[in-house]
Amino acid sequence: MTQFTRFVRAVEQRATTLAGLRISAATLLLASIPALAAALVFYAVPNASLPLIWQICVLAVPLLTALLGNLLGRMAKHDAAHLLLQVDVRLGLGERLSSLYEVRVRGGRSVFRTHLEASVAELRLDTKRGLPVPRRVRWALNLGAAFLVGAAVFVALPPRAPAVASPVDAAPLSASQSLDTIGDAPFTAPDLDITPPATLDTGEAATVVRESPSEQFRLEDVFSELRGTEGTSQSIVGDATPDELSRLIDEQRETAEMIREFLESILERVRKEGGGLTDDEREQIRDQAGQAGDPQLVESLMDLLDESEDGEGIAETLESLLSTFDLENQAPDANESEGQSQAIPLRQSDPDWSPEMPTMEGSRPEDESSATQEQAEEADPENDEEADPLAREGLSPGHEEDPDMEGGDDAQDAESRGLDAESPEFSREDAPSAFGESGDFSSFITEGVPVELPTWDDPDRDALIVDFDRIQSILQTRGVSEDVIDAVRRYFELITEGGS
Amino acid sequence: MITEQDLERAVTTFERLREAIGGVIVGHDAIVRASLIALLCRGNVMLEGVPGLGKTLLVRTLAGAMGLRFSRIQFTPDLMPADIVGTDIITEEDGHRGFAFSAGPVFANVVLADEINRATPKTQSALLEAMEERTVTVGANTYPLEEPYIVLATQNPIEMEGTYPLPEAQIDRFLLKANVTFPSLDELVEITSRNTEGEGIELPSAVATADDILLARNVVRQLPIAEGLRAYIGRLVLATHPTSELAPPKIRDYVEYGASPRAAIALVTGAKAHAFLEGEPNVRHADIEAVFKMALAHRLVLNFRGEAEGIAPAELLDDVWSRVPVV
Repeated sequence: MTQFTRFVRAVEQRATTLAGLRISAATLLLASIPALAAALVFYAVPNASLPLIWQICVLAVPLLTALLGNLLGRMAKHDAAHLLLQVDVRLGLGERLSSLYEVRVRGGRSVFRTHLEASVAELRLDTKRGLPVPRRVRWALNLGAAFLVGAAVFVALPPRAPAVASPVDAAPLSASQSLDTIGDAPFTAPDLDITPPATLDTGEAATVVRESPSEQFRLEDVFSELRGTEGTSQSIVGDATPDELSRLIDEQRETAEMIREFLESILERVRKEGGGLTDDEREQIRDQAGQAGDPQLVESLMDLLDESEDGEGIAETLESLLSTFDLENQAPDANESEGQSQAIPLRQSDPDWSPEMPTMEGSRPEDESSATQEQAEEADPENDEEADPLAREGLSPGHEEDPDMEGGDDAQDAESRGLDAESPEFSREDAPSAFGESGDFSSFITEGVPVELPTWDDPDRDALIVDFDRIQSILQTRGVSEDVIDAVRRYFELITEGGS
Repeated sequence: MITEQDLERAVTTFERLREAIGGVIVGHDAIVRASLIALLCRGNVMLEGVPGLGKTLLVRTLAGAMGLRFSRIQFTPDLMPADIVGTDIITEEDGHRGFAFSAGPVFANVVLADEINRATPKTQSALLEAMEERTVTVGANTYPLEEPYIVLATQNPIEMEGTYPLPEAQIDRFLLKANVTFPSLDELVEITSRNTEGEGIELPSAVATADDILLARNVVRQLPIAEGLRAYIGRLVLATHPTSELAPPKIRDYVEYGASPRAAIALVTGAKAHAFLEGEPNVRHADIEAVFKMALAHRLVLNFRGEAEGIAPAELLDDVWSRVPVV
């Protein structure tokens, strides 16, 4: 076999490879597009999962198609003269190969054939440079491979969990419209029309809405607020059951009692001996602050540490702090019969408020919201009368408001403020499934919320049992403002059609 | 069958020819090469340039170096065909009167048709048969011309008053058309030096014979060319036709008629001759490029728009060359 024959063979093999590659690239691209589309569709549909055999098919069909295309391409015949001329031109060989091929095809010996063979024998042939993969073939191959990898990724990903709510009706609703809808429209599970509590313009939620009026709130926002991980993560666990929550509340109460006794002992010592806090006391106060779940209490304890060595000042601070404990102990007593718990926040609007008392407004970091609230309180009181009746009452039918309930006035004020303020836009969102044992909502709503599924045997009766008193107690323990508590209460009244 | 010795002899002959011509002619490499290519391809050359550039000297040098018979015809408006090809004249011998053919200047090996466009078309066309068929017909008699035979015509591109543009049929018979450019400063200095000092310019003695030329022609004809390059040449020629799918936009806009099949032949043979002169054993893409414009420029017939806008055929051919792929 001469050098030239080897060249021709190498060039033909390269051309065969390229022809196969060309067809396989095209087929891979064409076949991977529907594969990727199928994988995306199955990934996008909640809870839909492809059977294993179909997963294999999605990935294997494009590969098999490409393989088949490659085989078909390899069967194509090539014009050697044309290929050699291509190699000649691309490698700048002075058309030696194609000319020699021409001479050999015509047959016979000639002086030119001898010269050509001698010059070809000195050549070094690089078929990959001579016949490179065309750019569009490379693009098609890369795209096809990328689509296929994408399909594999989406097939491998676990099926998506159902969305809590998907934006169905993009038509924005004003706050008043939302409230009207809440108040008037009868609840039907498939067409659940929920305005999340965060969208009710009260308290902190109002601040959030004003900052980003276009933000769409979801049910998750409500529960994340309920969990209130900041500052209470030690005492409340997100997935705790109602029983566990009760236990945690009891533990917090015991902790508060221990702190109170400890502070009383310090007060007694200071009154007797005078002077500031000892190092040992400071250390213990730090420990107690670490165990206290109430951020207000923690802050008060840390303020105590910052006190000077003046005995009288420390005594006054301790007395003030202990008086807070006394008030907190009175409030649960008053509400004990209703199953409510401790940690009732104090506000300036309360009749029992005194400047010495550490208040929610003073201790909470969200002073901005408090300031906003105060500004709103100075607004025209007639707004209360102009507000929606349902919002003004802040209640659903059949609910009896306790006049002593903390934050009741605030809630009304805040609601009226929210209605008077520039109405943020809300998006109507539909829940994906019905309530009940078969719905997905039940598994979601029980996260950290004292909501139970009914135990009665009537399967057609879709409802939830909500212990709102316990919700309120938990929220108060966390220091959640009364406005938000009221919004949460109305939310659960809405979704349970007033029942509990 | 060409042997190694034949090839070597042909190559040596043309190396000697180039040396001999270079000893007289300063510069004008392209013109010299075009003349040699035409000689190797059994073709004719049109040299276009202003007077005084050494066209006549080049032709005379070429003829002298080859030891061939040279004749010069100065074309004028009153020149008659018989003045070129010859005529029958009455002779009297031994008391008998008869006609005898008196050959004109066309009967030579190297014919210089100086300022060919100054003669009338009738006279110009007297050269047609000599240029293509290498015969001359006078009356009822046809006389063959001696090979190697080559016509080198000149024309002045600027002094067009009183001239007769060559008919398309005659232009097509020129294998190549070369523009004689003005010499550079160094060449000009060398020209003045050679012409004004010593004994002046001496034409070279013969360094080749007619047989050598004919052998070289045979070698060139057998020089291999790839089939793909033939197809490429075909595409190039087709692309000069405004009605062709291969024609670039400029050709469609400015060309009335494209190059003839004779142009394709000229391209192939010219490329072969160029490869031979370059010492290559086969035709390369570069060889085609070297003769592309010389072989096709004078064969394009511009339309009214092309003429009105003064479009240069070379510009159109550049467009063709850049747009037609080799493979």
